[in-house]
Amino acid sequence: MGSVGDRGIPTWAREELSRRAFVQRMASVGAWGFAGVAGVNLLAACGGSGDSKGSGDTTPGGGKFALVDYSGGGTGAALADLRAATQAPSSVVPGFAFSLGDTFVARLAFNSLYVLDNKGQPVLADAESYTPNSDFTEHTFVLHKDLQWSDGTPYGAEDYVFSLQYKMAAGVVFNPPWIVGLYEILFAGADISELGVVATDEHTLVITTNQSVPFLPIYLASAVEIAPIPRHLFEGNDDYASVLADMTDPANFVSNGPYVITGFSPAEITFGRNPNYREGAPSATADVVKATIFDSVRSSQSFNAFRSDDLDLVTVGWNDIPAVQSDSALSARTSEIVWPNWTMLILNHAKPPLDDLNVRKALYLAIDRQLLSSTTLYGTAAAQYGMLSPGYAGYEEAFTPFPVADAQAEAKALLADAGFAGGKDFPTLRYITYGDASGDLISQAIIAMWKDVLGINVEAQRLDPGAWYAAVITPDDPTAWGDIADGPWPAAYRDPADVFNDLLLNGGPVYHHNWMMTEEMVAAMDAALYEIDPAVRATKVAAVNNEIMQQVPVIPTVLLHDVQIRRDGINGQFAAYGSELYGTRYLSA
Amino acid sequence: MSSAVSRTARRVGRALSVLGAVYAITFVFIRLTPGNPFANRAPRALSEQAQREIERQFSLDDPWIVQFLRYPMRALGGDLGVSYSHQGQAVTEVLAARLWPTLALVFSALLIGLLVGVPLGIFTAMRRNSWLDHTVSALTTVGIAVPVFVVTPILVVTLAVSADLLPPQGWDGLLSTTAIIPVLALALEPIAIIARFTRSSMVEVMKADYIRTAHARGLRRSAVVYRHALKNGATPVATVTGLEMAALTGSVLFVEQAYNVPGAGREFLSAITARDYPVILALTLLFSLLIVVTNMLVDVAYTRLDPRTADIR
Repeated sequence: MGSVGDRGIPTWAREELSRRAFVQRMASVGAWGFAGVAGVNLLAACGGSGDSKGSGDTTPGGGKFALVDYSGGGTGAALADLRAATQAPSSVVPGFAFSLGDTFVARLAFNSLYVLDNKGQPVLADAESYTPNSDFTEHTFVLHKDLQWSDGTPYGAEDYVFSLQYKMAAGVVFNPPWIVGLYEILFAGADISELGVVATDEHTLVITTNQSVPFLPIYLASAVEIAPIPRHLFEGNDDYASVLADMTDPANFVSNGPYVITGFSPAEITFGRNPNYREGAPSATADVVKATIFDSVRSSQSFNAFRSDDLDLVTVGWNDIPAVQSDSALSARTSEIVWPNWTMLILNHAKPPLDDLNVRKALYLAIDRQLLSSTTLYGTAAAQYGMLSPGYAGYEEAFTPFPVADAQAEAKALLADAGFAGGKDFPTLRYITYGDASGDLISQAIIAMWKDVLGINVEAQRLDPGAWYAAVITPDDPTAWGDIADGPWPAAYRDPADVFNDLLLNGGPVYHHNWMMTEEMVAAMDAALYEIDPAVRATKVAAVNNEIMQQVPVIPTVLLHDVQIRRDGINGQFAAYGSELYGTRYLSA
Repeated sequence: MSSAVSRTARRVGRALSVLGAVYAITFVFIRLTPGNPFANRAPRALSEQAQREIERQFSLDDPWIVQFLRYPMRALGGDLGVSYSHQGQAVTEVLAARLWPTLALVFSALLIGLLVGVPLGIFTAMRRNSWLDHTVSALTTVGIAVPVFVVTPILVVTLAVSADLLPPQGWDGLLSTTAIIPVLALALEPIAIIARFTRSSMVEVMKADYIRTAHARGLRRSAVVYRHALKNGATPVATVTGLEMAALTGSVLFVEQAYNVPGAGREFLSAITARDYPVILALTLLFSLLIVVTNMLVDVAYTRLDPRTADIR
């Protein structure tokens, strides 16, 4: 079982490297005698390890920009108008789609029981109180009495129930597995009335879960699909598409958050204050938010728009980071935002040679993650060894990475044990990427590392995201998709158990490889899922990670940071690209 | 009169068959392309039940042949379907908001290509082998050789980012400064090609006997060039103009993407990524229609410029 401080490094990796270090020391004894051992030990005591590349990453940052806390303070006056970047939403109603543009609108215009504050923490919004029972399986929310939509129509607990039921009936929502009845309704045809979300009176909502869910508030604040939809517009209308289309017209748009849409064109979405927003509800600073629509908010176009003073904040794409680093004025305004955006490689365990655990371990150890973070990704990433990332139980910022040189030597030995010494007779592997800028950089660097260290050849094949999804996540033949692929976005949720569920069950990388889902893994995951005590939970989540990583079903690589530039005076967790926080309001300090 | 009607009917028939072929090829290929148009509808893989519900909502549960035949029938009535990625919006609404920037860019670039390219071609033809001719020839070679996906970023970096003269992205309409870079990027190739064709065509025509006769009659040089030579020299230019329209409809996809213009070209690329079949089909057909109509107009222009071609077309 791994220790919490390992930051997800599986125990087998530590053990293999310890064994190797022991053998090396014994060899040193033979060659140099006692003096040699003393020298090695002295070197180790001084922090040296023979690792010529690794720098000993001990923080989640390690980047070249400050890890700025934008939650308060600021250096200038707050802006009345905020010009931001977004992507085109598929829907302006929360829960019907989950792209960045959709979530951007949902975060600005819709409130849920909880919302995120400017530190990314949950604060009560539509609910005035939350009371869980002793084992966190029954969660009672008392709603504010004066809730109303932007058009003045009042709403309450029944509207929340209606919203979830409507979305589920429309087949467009995918809620967490622990809400009672949800999976039975979605997958087994159970009646919608069996959903464990009920209104006990006009202002009281009770959510029942089939296991302890101590993290429900942060989940509710993060998950846009929980936000209600205007019942008076949707009820009795099976053609939800027409209502969604009507809502894209600002004249028809109705919301319950601090903003309403006042302008919507293919180029820009404009948000203004909700005239009927509840007094005392979590508010936001800017009176107007103008969001320019880009194909990607990390594009050079958005970066150029910031530089020409057309935007007030922008998330910098990987290709533009060198330009920011070389410009002192821009660098001074730039921050790195750490969120659970770790990347991984999926391995096709159904095919040789990746059905061999030694080969998978060799590929895992051969990657110099610190070089990848410090150089390939311009220092704006951190090494990622397991499935624990910042914000999750079990993640520890301080830890000791394994020495890269030792790990790579061990990788060679493991590959030799698998019958491919020096890469001899190892087949050329096919690595499917989905072609975003960081993915390209990472894949090229890793392929080069594997070639250098293991002597194996890997060919990259770039697919667009849709083709990648079809080929890797939902293939007709799970053995046919190739050998290695960029992994899906693993950590969209604040529930760590959800990450593991995602990896193991729901469209994750081992979707078609449930033979890897051993009883030990299930037991470890259940133990973590039902744990209420945060400290114990952290240990158990680390154990889940370790149990899974014994088989190396995936290879974690790096934790990507967002690099964001802002005008002075803009605080709050706003539009951090891709995170569960993205589109979070520009909240007052 | 009857032959004119017959020619028109033949042209329309050819145009319809081209559009039909484009529709069939597009329909088949987009469905053969791997990917799911609704993959981004949920944070994780959709359940079978959810997938079926969505397919029902968008009539994707019908057999291919039914979908294949239904679309053109509805399209003829003005119904191009409902977009998958702009939920609930009719494709006609999606396109209505995005076609104007694209058409404005394409036709502006073509117009500039003609207004600059033709006089430039005539000018160099009249000064054949001069240093001006060689200079223009070299510049037009560059204009033809450097693709639009290189020109656009260069213009953005030089005119917008470095010099700060123009906006680096966006679209505020054809009469705004945001139109300058995309129009310029698109117009460079038509200018170069039209200038080249005009020059070579004019050089040939200027050697003709009737031009020598016109000179001998004492007509002014400008009258000889513009009244006699250009009319015959313009035929190949009309041809290349039609071809340039096709090229521009391709180039505009990149320019809109690179300059963040919310037009049909950018929407087309987004639709491909999102597997938004109705939008892909509609835009493919619209772009094809644009090219077909332009080529029909070129055909008509031929017969005006050279009536002898009427019988062989």
